[in-house]
Amino acid sequence: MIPLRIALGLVLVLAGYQIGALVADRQRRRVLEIDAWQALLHVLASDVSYTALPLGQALRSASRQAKGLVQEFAAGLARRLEGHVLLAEAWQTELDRLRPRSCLTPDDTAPLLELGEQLGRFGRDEHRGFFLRCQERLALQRREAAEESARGSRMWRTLGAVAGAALALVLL
Amino acid sequence: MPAEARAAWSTESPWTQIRPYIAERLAIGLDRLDAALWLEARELRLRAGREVRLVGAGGKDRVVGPAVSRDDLEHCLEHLTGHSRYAWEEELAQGYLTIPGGHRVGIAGNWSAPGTGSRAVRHVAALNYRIARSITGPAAALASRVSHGGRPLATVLVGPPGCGKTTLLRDLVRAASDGLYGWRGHQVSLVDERAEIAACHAGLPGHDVGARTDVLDGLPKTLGMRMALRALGPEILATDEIGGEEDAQAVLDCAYAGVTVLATVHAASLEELRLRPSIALLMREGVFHRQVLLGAEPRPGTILRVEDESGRAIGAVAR
Repeated sequence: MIPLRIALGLVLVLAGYQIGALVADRQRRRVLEIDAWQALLHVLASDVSYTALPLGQALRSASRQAKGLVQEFAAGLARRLEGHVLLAEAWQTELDRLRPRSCLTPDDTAPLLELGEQLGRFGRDEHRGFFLRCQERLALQRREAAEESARGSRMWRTLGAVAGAALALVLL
Repeated sequence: MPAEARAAWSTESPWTQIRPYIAERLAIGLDRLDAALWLEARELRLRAGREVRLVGAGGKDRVVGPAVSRDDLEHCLEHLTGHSRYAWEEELAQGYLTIPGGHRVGIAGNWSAPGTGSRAVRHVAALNYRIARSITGPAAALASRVSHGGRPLATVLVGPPGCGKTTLLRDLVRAASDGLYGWRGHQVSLVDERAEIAACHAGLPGHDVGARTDVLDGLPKTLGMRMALRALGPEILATDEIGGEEDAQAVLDCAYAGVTVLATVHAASLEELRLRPSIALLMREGVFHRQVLLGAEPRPGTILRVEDESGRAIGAVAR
């Protein structure tokens, strides 16, 4: 019976470690997601400010270079804009659609939502400012996310393993 | 704006073409209008705080929708610019946009002051959808008198504003391109500085200007004519409202290159035309073999007189 108990205990410790790793991974993915948004905004800002490419085309073109959820967002929004919709509403709808799978916090999405309300209604000069401000706010969020990820990575794994070990001691 | 890959002058009704560029709240109401009203409609007018009005033949208008809000107008402009006002800055600075089908939408409201770097509309107060109709056939009565051996002769259409010069030129271009009214088909370049002849939207003609016609729009006439001459190899080049010395020089360049020019000029009579120094130069050089005087009475497009280069009347006066 003792070898079995030891084995079960190890399983619980490992499971706890894995749960901790998942939480840590979510923090890491948040950083990557912000990076992907930054890259998308960079491409969009260039297309809008310098070549005045209409937003639908700019999004379609940018979606080919984007990754993951951000790629889905750009392609989905470009498709929506082909219909008789308003940009701000379509932008918000797409963000809402991806929210369940996204690792971004409400503070991360706030500048994106604000950008969606501003885009398309002004001239090129104004758009430069909109993109710049959004990118600056996202950069701050990214710094915070990266710090959290660096701090949390080992901490969550350790916490998970310790919690697993504690559970094993109680149960076994 | 949706990129139309098809010819917008197809069989769609004006309302079908205009609807995507109207705020949804207003469009739902206008969907219920009798289709026959659209057939004779000239303008759809949206003014902030006022009811939607449809202007019909003879300028008579009727209320066809609820009071328009500023949001409605902003939504219309968003649809008109394809959610990208920045992409249409130059067109907006002219005060209008052209949509597929050749319909022109005039914009009234508050504009940022000149000298601030951009001239952009800040607050839209009114939109006027001018419903375009491509009238085909007016050149049929003229074709035999302005051609020789199935090829159009260099022709200048003369008349006061509103006498149908542009409509006739458009039909001449279509005929020269497609080979109608006993003409052969030719390679045609159409230099449409103000997008009035072909009514291009995103480079595609809103009116049928023929299968062999290349359109350059939004360019200064002189530049457009020279570009067409260098790059497009036209047999016939058409342009609207020539006037200044630079225009005349560009027309001369075309004539010297063996290209037949079809053009319009604002003038009340052929005598007035000959008094213009730049046009007189073209006459002296024998650039135009036919001069056609148009009138607005009894209806626009009435051909009052056709002359050859020596001033001799050609054919019967059609009324």
